[in-house]
Amino acid sequence: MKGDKKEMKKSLKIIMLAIISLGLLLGVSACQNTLSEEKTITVVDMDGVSIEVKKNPTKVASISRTTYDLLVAYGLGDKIDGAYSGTLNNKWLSTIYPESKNHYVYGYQNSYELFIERGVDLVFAPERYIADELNERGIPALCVSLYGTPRFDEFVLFFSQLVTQIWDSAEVKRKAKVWENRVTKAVNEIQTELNKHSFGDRTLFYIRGDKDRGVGYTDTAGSFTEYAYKVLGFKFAGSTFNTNKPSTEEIMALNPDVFVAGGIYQNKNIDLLKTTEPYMNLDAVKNNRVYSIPIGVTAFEQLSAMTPIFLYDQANKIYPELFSFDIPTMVKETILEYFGYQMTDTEVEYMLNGLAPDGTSLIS
Amino acid sequence: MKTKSAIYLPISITVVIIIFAFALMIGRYPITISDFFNSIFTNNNNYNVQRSIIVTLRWPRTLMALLVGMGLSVSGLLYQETFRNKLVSPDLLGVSAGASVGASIAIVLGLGSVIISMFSFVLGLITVFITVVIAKLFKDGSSTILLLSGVIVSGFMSSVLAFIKYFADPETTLASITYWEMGTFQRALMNEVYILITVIGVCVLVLLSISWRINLVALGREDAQTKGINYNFYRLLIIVISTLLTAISVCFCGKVSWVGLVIPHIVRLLVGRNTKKTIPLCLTFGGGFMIICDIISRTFTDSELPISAVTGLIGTVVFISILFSKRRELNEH
Repeated sequence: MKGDKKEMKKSLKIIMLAIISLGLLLGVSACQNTLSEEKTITVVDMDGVSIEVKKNPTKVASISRTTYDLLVAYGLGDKIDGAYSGTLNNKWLSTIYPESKNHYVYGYQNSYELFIERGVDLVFAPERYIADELNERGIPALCVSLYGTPRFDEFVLFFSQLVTQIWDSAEVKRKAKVWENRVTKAVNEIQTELNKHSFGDRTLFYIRGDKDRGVGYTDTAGSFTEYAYKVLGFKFAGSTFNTNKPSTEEIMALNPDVFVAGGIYQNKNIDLLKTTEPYMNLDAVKNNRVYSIPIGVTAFEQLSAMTPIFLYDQANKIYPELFSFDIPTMVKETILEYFGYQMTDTEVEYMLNGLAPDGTSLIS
Repeated sequence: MKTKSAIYLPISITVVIIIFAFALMIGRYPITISDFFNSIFTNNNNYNVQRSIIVTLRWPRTLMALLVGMGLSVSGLLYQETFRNKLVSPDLLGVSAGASVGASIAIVLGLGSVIISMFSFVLGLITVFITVVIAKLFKDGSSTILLLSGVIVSGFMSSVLAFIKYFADPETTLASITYWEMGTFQRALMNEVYILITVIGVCVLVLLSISWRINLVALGREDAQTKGINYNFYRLLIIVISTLLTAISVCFCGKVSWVGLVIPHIVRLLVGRNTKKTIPLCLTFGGGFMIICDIISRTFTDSELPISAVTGLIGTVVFISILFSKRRELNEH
């Protein structure tokens, strides 16, 4: 009798275990079915790596700085979960696009669990290794680098075209087409005019002012700035160095024909060039060939919604005898069209001079 | 040996002067010898660029390299003699670790370069003070306890630094902290050079005036006291001066490794342990060595190489060469 009871208990335990295991199996397979039912698409990122991502993602982490502004411009702002702190920490962005305050502030490198916890379904990563590490952990990530290999030329329209593949929306496609046409038009217009003249070999030094690293901080080969100033007829000094921090003597030895300064530290750097030894002895400084780059929702020299205007603005400044584009009107129209914000004349003036919306310095 | 050691000093002074002159002529910006003399000894406007490069860039940084090399070498020598340990370097009591923490706090707070140097200097001294206080708690005047508390406090400061680096912005402040830690003379200014000259000058004068007492302190407590000197006072004085030399050196150019360890060894191999001879030679050898390292760090690449990386590489080669050439004498000992 006792032995029977024991046997019964043993059988019951086995049955219970079997039921629980079956339940778990069914649960897991149900989850798998849900995932496989989601529409996906295989896209190729900037490094030529094919990645399967969800179609029409709704929670995007825009870590790569070159992605945020175009997503918002194409009407996908509500699909962004968050962006890199350097992108969001910009007084112009919070003025022109106040919704940016709702976006999560990501670091450059984030914990994998953070993306999972926030339910992120796509990450635009700035570097290959970041994208790879995320993909290895089941978080779909595409590398959208600020640099193209070997040059940026073939990647100018890349992100815009990538967006139209991922988001199946007629409006996104239309906006992307308009932007791409404007960029192509600006490039053609400037190059056609410059081709009519002969300027000889000239070197341009770009001072990267997004960080407080002084005059000797620039971009290297493969950057968008290299491409942009090649369009404007210059040899990009940064391409000749094997570093983005050339020494002062290196810059002096190069003696560039033109300096352009961008980023939030641009006015400080221009001041430094014009007032301190030995920079003030350079030909470009003595001949007043030092120009600023406007800064808006992002720095203009970064691939963005403002790229056509960036090219026109620099053409105006570097070749005042050849070009006279109406930059303030272009800025007003573009900001209104892409971000729905009506800028005042004063705000436009501040933006073009690298200042904050209230006319103060952008350096906080 | 006596004759040999007597000629080392004038020869090394001459060599340092030649190296110094070369340092003003050599760099990424090509300056010929005639350009050099025209820009320095004439007012010809055609040489404004060259003059500007020599006066505003190379002159202050070469002077700073000379002074930092002098300061760290002498400081290393004093620590090694006082603690009677040849493996001791100037950052033994935590001054470099503290200076790094001070500089990194200032960098993270976004403060200017002057404040960064001040934070670095003050934190360097505070760290050594903490080391001495901890050693006192053991109520044991031995050097071992002081060394041990130096290791403890340095370790603690390294952890603090690791925390600061962890929370620093990877794209901005982290890079600056890392670069500061590797050392550079790129940011050298004449104002800083004047401060260095004053502090190092006063410290060296004091050291030279008590050099025979340093020899006695190096013999140990018992021997020193039998010779009638106040061992505790002089040991503390030497430690304070060495710390001051290290702190003032690293606060302007960041951490510079190897020099304070290697130069005293090289000098001792040449002239023995008498500090009357070793201090002046540490000044010339250290200064000259550091100028050479600075020339290398700024001449062969587009951007400047960190000074610690260069001192490590060159120091190793030089040290091994000298050990090899002196192997017979070393074996006899």
